[in-house]
Amino acid sequence: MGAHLFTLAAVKGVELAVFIALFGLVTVLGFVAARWRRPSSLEHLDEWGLGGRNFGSWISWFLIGGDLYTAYTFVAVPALLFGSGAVGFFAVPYTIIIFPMAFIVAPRLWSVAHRHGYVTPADFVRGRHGSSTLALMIAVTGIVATMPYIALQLVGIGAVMRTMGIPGEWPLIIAFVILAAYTYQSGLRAPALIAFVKDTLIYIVVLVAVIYIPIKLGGFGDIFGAADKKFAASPAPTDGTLLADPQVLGYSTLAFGSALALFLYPHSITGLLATRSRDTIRRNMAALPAYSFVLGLLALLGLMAIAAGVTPLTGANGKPDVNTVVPLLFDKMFPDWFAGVAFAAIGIGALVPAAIMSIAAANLFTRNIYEEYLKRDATPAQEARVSRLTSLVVKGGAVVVILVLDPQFSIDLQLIGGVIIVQTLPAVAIGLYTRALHAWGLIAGWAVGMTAGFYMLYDTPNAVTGRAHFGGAQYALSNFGIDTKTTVYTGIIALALNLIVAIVVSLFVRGRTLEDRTSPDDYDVEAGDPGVRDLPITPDEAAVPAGRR
Amino acid sequence: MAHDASREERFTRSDGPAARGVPSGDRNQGLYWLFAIPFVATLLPWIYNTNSPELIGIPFFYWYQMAWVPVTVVITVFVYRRTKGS
Repeated sequence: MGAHLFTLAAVKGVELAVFIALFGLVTVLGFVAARWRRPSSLEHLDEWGLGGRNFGSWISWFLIGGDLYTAYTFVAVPALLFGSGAVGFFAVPYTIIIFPMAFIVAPRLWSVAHRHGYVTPADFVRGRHGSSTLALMIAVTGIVATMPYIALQLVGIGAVMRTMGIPGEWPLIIAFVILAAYTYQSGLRAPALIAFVKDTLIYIVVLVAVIYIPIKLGGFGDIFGAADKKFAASPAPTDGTLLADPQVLGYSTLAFGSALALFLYPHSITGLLATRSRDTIRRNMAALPAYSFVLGLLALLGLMAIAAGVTPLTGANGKPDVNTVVPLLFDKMFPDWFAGVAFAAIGIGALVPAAIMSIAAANLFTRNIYEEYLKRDATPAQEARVSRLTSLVVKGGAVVVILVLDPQFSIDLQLIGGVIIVQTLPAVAIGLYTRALHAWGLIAGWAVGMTAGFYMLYDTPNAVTGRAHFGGAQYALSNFGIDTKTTVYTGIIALALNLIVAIVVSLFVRGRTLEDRTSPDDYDVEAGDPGVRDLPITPDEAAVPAGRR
Repeated sequence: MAHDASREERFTRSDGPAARGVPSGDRNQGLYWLFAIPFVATLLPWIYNTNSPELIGIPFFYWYQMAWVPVTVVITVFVYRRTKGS
């Protein structure tokens, strides 16, 4: 501690006490979760890594909602509105269109995964396209895209900690050690149980915030007036309470591309495959938009922070850290005890997705690297053990990344993460419908999409922050020689190149057939249909009917 | 390859293709086209990139997009009910 020793006077006692109390509650829940819904044993990846593959509608709603709407989202989306205005609101159309898409596509993945026991998206690619190389590429893409996302959850907790007057990194380390311990112990059941607390707190805080804060600030008219004034005074052409003309296409392609990417992330797929049935998924796609509405309200907090005159705290790198604006707004507006509740909501909001992401990354490593290349005859118990240990390594890695590197590096990586994960769409999402794209074509398309995406991100400067590279995920069309200021989401351009290459190469290698282990009817089966095993079971109790709850 | 066969066996019943279920399938898949409505409405910002009409002081840009959340829920519930397998 030494150098980081802080003056106790700066710490907000009541806020901290409430925060620690709620944090303690979820820690207990995390450990108790191992016994929740009584698994006979956690020594199987379906149990530890997918919570028994038997979550019903309610649990799945909390789990998937807690999984997709992370602490970083809660902190970064309002921060974007605080800094740039209307462009940050892309999160709303993004989370509106994601659920109809998943409604149609996700049940097919559920069915084929249940019939074949797939745990990860790369498992499916392996079985469907018959190429272990392609599966490895999908697995590595997933792990690389997920790691910085986990690290960013720490940024969310860190913003809250600094607002409470606690500097330094040791509270983050403590939080993550506790998280790692109960994830190791309970697997996916831990975040599933904690998600109830997290989401309840978030809903309470947001509802109170969007009613109470506007009243204190004199109504929405005054809030938007203050925001208008701030953006008009700033020299940047890319901010404002409405979109500037060149931003419009970038706004819609960002919303569309982000929606395509979301359910390709390994942690989203983990949430989907943990459900009990296709019907559970489809019901959830009708119910999950409740979170989108909350996210829209949260986004408006960024504009409220402008009206409230919030000034972001200075970050570790000496620049203002806009991620602190929402915590600071709560601190300024709410009584201490309720600010504590709000901070706990954000802090716990970081734990649920971080746990699921580390489980998803660990499952990818276990199934598609360890078992595929290191130990081909791994037993289910060995799989579970490797996955548990890997989840510890993944979280340790995230902490090291945050401590050793500039947090900005994680934010850059996360930017890259969205662009690269969408490159798995042809193999995974299109693969759920057709094998018209050959594995070799998919490999070539992936390579081109990744290279192009990475190059375009590198080639994007940011005038506001003065950075020459990785300045954002909007690529100027003027780079292609088109005389316009319009920008387009980088991921969409890279995906288009990926698809073109995949189609062309597939035409050339049409004759070379690779094995497809799935059959057409695998994609439509529902729980209870023949061939879809009753879950959860462990292999040695297959004769016992599964305890349906 | 032998390894993969064993992995499959762990998860799939080996009673041959005949025992595999005939998928119940989903009815009325044509209704999925209804989902084009929220796509068009929210992905074309040219429609709503304006301040007026305001709603309790909130510019059109913001409340219009928020309004599409409940509308999309209604569409999704409708499609869910009509396509639910037997």
